[in-house]
Amino acid sequence: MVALAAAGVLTAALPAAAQRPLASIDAQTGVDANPYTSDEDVAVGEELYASRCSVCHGPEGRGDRGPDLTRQVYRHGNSDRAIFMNILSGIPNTGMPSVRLSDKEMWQIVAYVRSLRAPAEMAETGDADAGRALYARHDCGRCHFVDGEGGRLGPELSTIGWSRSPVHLRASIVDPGGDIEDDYRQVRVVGADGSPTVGVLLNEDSYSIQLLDMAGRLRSFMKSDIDEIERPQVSLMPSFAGRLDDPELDALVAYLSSLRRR
Amino acid sequence: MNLIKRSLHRGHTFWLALAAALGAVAALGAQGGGVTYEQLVRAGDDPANWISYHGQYNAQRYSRLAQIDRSNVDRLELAWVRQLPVLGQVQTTPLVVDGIMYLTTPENEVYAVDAATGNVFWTYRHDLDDTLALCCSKQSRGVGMLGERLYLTTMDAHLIALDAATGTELWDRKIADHLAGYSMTAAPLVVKDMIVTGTGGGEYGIRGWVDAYDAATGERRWRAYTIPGPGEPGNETWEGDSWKTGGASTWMTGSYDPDLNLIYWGVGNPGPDWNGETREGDNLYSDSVIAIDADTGEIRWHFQFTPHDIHDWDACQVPVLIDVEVGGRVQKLMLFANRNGFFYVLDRETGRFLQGREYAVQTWAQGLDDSGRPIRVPDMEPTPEGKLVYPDVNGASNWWSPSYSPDTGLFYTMAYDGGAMYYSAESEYVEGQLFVGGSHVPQTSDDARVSAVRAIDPQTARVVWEHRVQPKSMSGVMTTAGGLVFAGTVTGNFLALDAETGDDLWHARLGGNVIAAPITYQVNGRQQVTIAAGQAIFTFALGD
Ligand code: HEC
Ligand code: HEC
Repeated sequence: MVALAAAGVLTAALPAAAQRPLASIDAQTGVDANPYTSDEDVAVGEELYASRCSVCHGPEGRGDRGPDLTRQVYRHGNSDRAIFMNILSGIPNTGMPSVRLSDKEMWQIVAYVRSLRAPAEMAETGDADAGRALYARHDCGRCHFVDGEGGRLGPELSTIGWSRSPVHLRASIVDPGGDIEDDYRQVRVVGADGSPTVGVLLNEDSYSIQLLDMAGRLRSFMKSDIDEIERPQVSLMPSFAGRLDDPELDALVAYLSSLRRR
Repeated sequence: MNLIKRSLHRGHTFWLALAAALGAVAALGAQGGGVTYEQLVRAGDDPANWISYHGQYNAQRYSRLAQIDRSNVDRLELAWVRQLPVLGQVQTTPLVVDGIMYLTTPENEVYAVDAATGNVFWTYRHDLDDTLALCCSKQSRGVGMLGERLYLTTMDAHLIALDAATGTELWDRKIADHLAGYSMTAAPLVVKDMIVTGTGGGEYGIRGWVDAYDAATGERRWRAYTIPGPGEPGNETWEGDSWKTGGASTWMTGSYDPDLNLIYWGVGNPGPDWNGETREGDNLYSDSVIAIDADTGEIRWHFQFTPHDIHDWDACQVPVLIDVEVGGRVQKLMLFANRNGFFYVLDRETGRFLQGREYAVQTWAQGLDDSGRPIRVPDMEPTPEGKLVYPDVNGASNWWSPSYSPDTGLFYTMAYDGGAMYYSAESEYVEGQLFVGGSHVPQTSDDARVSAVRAIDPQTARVVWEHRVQPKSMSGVMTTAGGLVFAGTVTGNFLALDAETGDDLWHARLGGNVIAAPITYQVNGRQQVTIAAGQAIFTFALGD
């Protein structure tokens, strides 16, 4: 499993066991099957979902920056208990936070998640093989690793099909600045001699700053040695809007969705 | 585009001008490229970096850096601490390459930190299986590096390649069945374009091996079993089928001689540990050091320290390689401070025993014969009622790295004088279950526990000085061209001794067990010394 953590966030480095909050009685007693599955429970679950989950998993579970939950095949476990634990504890080193509610409310959300189905018209239509070719042609691998090959500047994409929905993948390609990953903030360090170093911010405190530069190297600067730090609010990923037509975009998204290394 | 500009330290123009004048504006971090095999071969010439577990292939754990020396070591000050949010004891030997430090935690995590500040660049966490068959605590002692890749072995028996700049996992190979007792805690050894690793499991009835894997793909190149199979020489040293579950693990990092093309690896105890009745014979190659042809995996020679061991004195210590001139001829030697209480000097071309002598209290052997075989004291076997024998089960020494300084010509090791009651019992092999045939109870009371850093002259195999530490200590040692020996104690002291005399020149209280070995390297022209203690990494440098 890969964990590329913005190191400033200490919790990201905590082992899973240390992160597990254990206030939940059902988590500790090991309740496996969902005790709350009535229609009423599903309805309450839907409301809770709308307020706590839909920002990331989209309306009706169809996904956004979080994965599409209607597919009912999950990377982090398919059982009721697995989903319950993912809500309770979050998923370490991913964008899935711990969402703390009462045991009953969490089970009600599980009941709702279980009820989700993709409408037929949502089926993914792109040609993943054509997408793989486009990925190569546009040299996306210059900045992204897939299965051990590629570049360093952007996030690894080997499991992107698990973590992100097609909606989000499409947006990432045509509007990279729209939702920049916290771990990929651009930073520009200007030395006292005026020479700039551009890269991805990894860590910073009052005295020093650490980044991954455009050449894919780790760099560290003492603040006493540098002139200024600029933080352009743009993505280091170029936009491909206008460079791909719709079928091409569908194909590329289908290819990215197929990247589901276990 | 919305630029948020932040100007730093206006009004500090004097310092800026000074910094510019000194050309000190350069980034502290790496200029990249990673580590080549040629660099590994010549690592001693580049003391600014510490690029492998032992520092060099010869495992001398000696550095040519001399900025910190006998005269100024008392000015050593804390440069930074990196706390690691883990429960276990951190035993890592970090690597430092171009100002970037790579270290591991007992949860099989890898950290890349800035060696100048201790700030973290990235972290990686292996998704460790919940079920582990471990004799001892969770542990991970370091990574190997080749090119721009790091190599990690795990307690659930994976070999993993990471991109050193980002921590991205490039591949992950399951190399053995951890539920059958195979586990890895050592840093792998990089040889040419191969990753060489052994395995733990000596308490689980495994059949040990040393493996080499293709560094690019993770495919296995060769395997050297540490217990010969039927028809192979040495198999007759195991009674019946006992070879199948005889242990002979290989859980520490070996050393390597590029000229002889031989990899040297210490081999663990035979199993079951404390009951030898079902495995009559010498039990080769348990408790031996083996010399492996780096290209073929063939075992070229072996030397067995403790034939038919019944005290769990495995030979997973670090084989230290030195060249000395004797009568105009360069002799290629191996120095080995064994867990059984004896120090050995071997010819590392042939494995021939040259001399040996006890370096810690032991009661099981009258001495060594001309071939280096122990002359046993009768009736020292574990019994159901218990038998007191020295050294205790942790050994006179253990995996704690020793060191050799070419300046003093002395070999240094942490040694322990203690005994244990050894008990034997019946033991039946069940896959994945402990298979030890007895137990042990340390017999030395806490206040009587004596450890010492001992300096041994390889010419005579005699201890020339010792520096006692209280209580028992389990740290590695390191020597430098500054005339220093660095070592630590389980009570959390970290100390620098005079390499000539053993005098205590400096120490710091780190407040956590030092069960690790020190390293030294340079960042921005400044020599630093780093040691793991408790759940943290401590780095020292000279104060102004
Ligand atoms: C801040 C965004 C965010 C919020 C809020 C959020 N999630 Fe997630 N969730 C994610 C991301 C991102 C992942 C993908 C993790 C990965 O990389 O595998 C995920 C994964 C999951 C998974 C596992 C999917 C799998 O394939 O195993 C489940 C189930 C899930 N979320 C349910 C929920 C529920 C239910 C809620 C509300 C209680 C919720 N999430 C709230 C971002 C979010
Ligand atoms: C110059 C480097 C670069 C190139 C070329 C590049 N990317 Fe990116 N990409 C990035 C960076 C940096 C990020 C993270 C910042 C962000 O989210 O905008 C990113 C983010 C992404 C994400 C979002 C990942 C996530 O976790 O949500 C996707 C998907 C993606 N890129 C796909 C592509 C594809 C497909 C191509 C080729 C058509 C491509 N990228 C080309 C640098 C690059």
